[in-house]
Amino acid sequence: MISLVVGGSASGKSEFAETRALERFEKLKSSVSSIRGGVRQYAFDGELVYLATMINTDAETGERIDRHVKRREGMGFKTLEVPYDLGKITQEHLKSNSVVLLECLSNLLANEMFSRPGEGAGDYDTIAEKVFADIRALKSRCHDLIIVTNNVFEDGLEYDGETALYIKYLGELNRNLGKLCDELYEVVVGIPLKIKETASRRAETEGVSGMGRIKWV
Amino acid sequence: MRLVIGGASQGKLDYVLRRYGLEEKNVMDGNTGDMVDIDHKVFYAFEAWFKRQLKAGGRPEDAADVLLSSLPELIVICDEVGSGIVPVEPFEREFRERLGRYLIKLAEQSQSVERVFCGIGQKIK
Repeated sequence: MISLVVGGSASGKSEFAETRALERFEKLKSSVSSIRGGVRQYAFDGELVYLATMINTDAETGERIDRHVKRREGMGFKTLEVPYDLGKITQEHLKSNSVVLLECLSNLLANEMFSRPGEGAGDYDTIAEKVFADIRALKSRCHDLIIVTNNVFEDGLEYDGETALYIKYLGELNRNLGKLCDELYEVVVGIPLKIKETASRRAETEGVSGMGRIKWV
Repeated sequence: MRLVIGGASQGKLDYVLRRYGLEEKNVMDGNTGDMVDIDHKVFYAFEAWFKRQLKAGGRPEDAADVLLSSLPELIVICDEVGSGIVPVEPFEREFRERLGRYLIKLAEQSQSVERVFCGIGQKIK
């Protein structure tokens, strides 16, 4: 399942996404053990993985990272630092029974566009497609993927050059993921607003008994 | 307390006055005002007030705590300021971050949270 979590800065989107990832992980764990008749002998090998994309460049970024690390402490996340090229994550790094939280797409795209070593400003035409393909590759290697992304579209300001392109491509990615995802939440002042939920996701929320009520399934 | 949020120029003040049957005299304008008096039922432009406090070197969170705790019936109207490109100016970044964090707390404490979009209010809490 893919969950997309969108919000502005300091909207509480990270906290919500972390909670969501934990819920998914608990659910996955219990479903795997129930397959075995609830017998705990079966060793569940899945992991709760945090994909950190931020590159530590200055004190302010360092503080931000520290705050996020602190919140994840004790939550059971294994952290993988992947500033770009998500598609290169292989089975060695990631078990197929994993729940992955990607934090966050807006950083990832900025890194892909502006922070790759040895590559200057260039041709960005295919960047959104490349990142989208990376995300699909990542999804094929884990069980659940929770993606945090940013709302950078509503400050009413006009931007030139690379920033305008960045906004355009983040918008494209958000839209494509909006289509692909099973659920989409927007977080506003800490309150999650449900924007999309697929029928299969809804059935899962309601449990097996709820499935009969959904006529279009 | 009630919180009303939304982007700039979305009709938040009109919405509040209409919905709660209030008048101009009930509005404290955070662009210029600091004092809340007995007639005031609405704290408008909370973001502007917050920014002024921050610019003056104060701790707007503490000042707001004091002000708002004495007025449990107040309706706070605030612009959404976090949904844009990260500002180049460090002060603007800090303002976004601090106001955003404070709004999460305010939303938790509020009996209702409404979001105004294109003049239409949506109760989100």
